[in-house]
Amino acid sequence: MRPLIQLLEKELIEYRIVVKLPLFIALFAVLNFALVMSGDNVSFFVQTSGAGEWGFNLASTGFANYVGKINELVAGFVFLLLFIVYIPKTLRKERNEGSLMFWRAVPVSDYLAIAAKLLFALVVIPLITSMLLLFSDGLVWLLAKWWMTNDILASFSITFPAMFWHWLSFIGRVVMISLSLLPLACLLLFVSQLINYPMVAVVVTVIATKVMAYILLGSSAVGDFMSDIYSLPLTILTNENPLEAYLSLGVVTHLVLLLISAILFYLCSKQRSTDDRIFSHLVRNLYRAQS
Amino acid sequence: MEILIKAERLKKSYQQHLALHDVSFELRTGQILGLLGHNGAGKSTLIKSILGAQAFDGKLSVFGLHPQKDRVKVVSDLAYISDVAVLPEWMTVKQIVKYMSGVHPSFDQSKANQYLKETDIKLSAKIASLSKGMKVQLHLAIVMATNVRVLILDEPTLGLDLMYRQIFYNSLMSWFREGERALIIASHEVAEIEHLLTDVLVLRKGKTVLKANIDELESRFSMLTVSSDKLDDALGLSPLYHRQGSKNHIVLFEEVDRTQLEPLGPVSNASLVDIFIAKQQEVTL
Repeated sequence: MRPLIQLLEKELIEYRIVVKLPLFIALFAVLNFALVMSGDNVSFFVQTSGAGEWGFNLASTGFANYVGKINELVAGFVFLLLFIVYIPKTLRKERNEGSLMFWRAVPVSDYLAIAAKLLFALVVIPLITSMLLLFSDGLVWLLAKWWMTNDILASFSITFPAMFWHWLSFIGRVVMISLSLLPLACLLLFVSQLINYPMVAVVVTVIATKVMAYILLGSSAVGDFMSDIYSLPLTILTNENPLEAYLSLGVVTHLVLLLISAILFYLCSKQRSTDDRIFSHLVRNLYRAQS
Repeated sequence: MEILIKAERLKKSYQQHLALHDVSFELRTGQILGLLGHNGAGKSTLIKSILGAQAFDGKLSVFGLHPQKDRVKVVSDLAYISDVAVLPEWMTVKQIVKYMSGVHPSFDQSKANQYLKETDIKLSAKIASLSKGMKVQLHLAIVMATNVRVLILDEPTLGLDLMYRQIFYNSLMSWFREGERALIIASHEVAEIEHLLTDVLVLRKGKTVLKANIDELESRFSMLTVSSDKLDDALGLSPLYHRQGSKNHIVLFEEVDRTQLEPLGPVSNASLVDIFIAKQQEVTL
């Protein structure tokens, strides 16, 4: 357990942005509250066209109604942003700066090293962003207590139990988001060890696959399915019921995605352990086993 | 003496390039093996194989284990310091010491702090802000505090001034004498490490050109200083290497009886530098 904690602490030292960005946003929460509370009841709807459609409704009945929902969305987007900043960079950076030889020279298995990075991206980062939510909600509670009467506070559900429940439901939501991000995280961790721009490579591959599938099959079904997968984290973040959103892909699809994640996790760990290309390494081992 | 590392017919190729070819050696407790060769000789390839960082053909065992399959167990007892910056520059000295104490079961934090106290390195300093000499000192302090049995040094003093080199080797040797350990020092600065070595393994283009105990070299190699008029006689004895001195010629022989050489001129022991140069050059005689 101690090595794992040490590995997570190391990531936190290396990626200060994971703490700094939520802190920076937290400062804006005060301004955000002041601006929103000065207006009337706000409700707006955002929708993209085409496949991968998603939207969010701010007419919430939870803690602080729409203000609470905005806090939740901001914390969720900060999580997704930090995920995108961290995951494609972390393994690439240790190869580029040369520190990989140092990390390899300590008795930490590659499985543990990769697991720590996944835990950092999918557990530590959302926990930090949940702190951002708690802080923002706390500010809302404090300022509401200062400005509003008890009747209004009650009508907006600005109470301690509602705030705690808001935080717990956010934790539940990010658990679903993290689960939906796991295949992408494993894919990016693996690809980032092979090429310098993993995000670009993955995006281009997805677009090319969608176009090719459309040309070959004359249908956008494959493309739509891919869109459903990669837009799932955002769908979960904005949907009223995160579990329902998560399960919208179907249990079988999730089992297949988890299996793919496990394979990518294995490949990723093997690639980290060697300077050789993993595929030549695996082919070599297979050849040896046969001979 | 316990065998710590054993390599048998080790091979490694990168696409069409053969980086290591049939390299065999043993490293035992108490040995300081000089891994010598010019750039591209295969020193770093051999070290990477020992560290389990790449696949190889042939047999290689470290503490009786496979370096790739059992990397975690191997590196618990084996450490590595190289010339290139491998320390994470974004960490402070204190943070890296804490990290090591958290992940390395045999790391002694108080020992590391003690070693660092003897240097000018401050615990609060960022690694990026340290000079190259300080970084090497820090790395050595970390390694010395892990109480490993084998330490591999890959051109550790490259780019360091004489003072840091002296400090480095003094610290290294006092640590080496403390326990049942072995060292591998890869370098092409032969003169600098010659006095430390117990054994040498000289590589050239991936192949072993010399593998010997330092004491053996004395009886195996002879250096003859010969005048021009006796040079032909000397060259007739198939020397390994020959160079023109200011007045006389210097001729190096391997496995030639000294009684055959003495009539031609003064015979002395060959230095490791001369042997290294001779072994690195094609025999053109």
